[in-house]
Amino acid sequence: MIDSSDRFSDGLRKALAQAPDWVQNLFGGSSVWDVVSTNGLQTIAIGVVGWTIATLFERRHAAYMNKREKLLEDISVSTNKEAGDDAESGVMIYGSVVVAHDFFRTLVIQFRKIIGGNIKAYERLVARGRREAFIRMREDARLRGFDSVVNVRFTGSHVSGRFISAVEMVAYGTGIKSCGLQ
Amino acid sequence: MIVTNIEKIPGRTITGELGLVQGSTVRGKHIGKDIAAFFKGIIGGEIKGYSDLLVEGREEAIERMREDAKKLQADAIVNVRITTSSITGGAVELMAYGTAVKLAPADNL
Repeated sequence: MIDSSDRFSDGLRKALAQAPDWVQNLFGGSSVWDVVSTNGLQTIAIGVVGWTIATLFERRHAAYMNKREKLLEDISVSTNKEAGDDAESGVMIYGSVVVAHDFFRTLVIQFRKIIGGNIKAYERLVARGRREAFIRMREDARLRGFDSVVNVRFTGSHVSGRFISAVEMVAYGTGIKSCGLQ
Repeated sequence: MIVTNIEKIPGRTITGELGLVQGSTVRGKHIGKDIAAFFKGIIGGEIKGYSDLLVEGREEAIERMREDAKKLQADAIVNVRITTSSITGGAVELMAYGTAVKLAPADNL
């Protein structure tokens, strides 16, 4: 008995058989080392192009986040468990995002792990993901008309797909609407 | 059903605790999304397919938690936590858990 997903991956395998060797290696679940040692040039070419685009995107994303953060300044955020006396209603809200490295940085990180120490590329990635999740949470708060978010918590986890691995960052808290008692 | 992650419901009075409620779901990505993610992985950045998938999964986990609380005839869930864990390549577990509580009637302010 073959279900549809099997047929789908069969088709994929057939299509892959036509592809160049290095593409097959990438999809065949070989380790990064195998890919680099057998197909150095193509890997480096993809890596450099990817790295350039990734750097551009990262900068653009940072500028975009700056812009959104300015709009969200008036939503007060805290890790207090108390909602305040004038709180009228509260609902849990969250924001989440999955971010991944480009191919080239993944390679660099493999080397960096040999030496150990701070992995700057990862630090930047998680910081970027967390900031985006935090912004999304506050945007959700804005959308639902809350004026503050209390008991904010961050969690994250590693999300591994079949071909890439990424990090998920979540920010959640309780959105509070105040009735404006003074 | 009101869901918060603080210890009380703003503007309402909690009259009784009914115990722990939880909801969880394991989500897999279909291969098309994985292939898209592979190409996105060359340049990095947000993997939209996975983001959406996890948001859907999390909504489902919260919904299941609510159903669990409904069985206990709860009015609200407080102190909710959410977690994610990667089970195996291509699947994630999303979980939400909290305490189901009874509330005093709303007009009782």
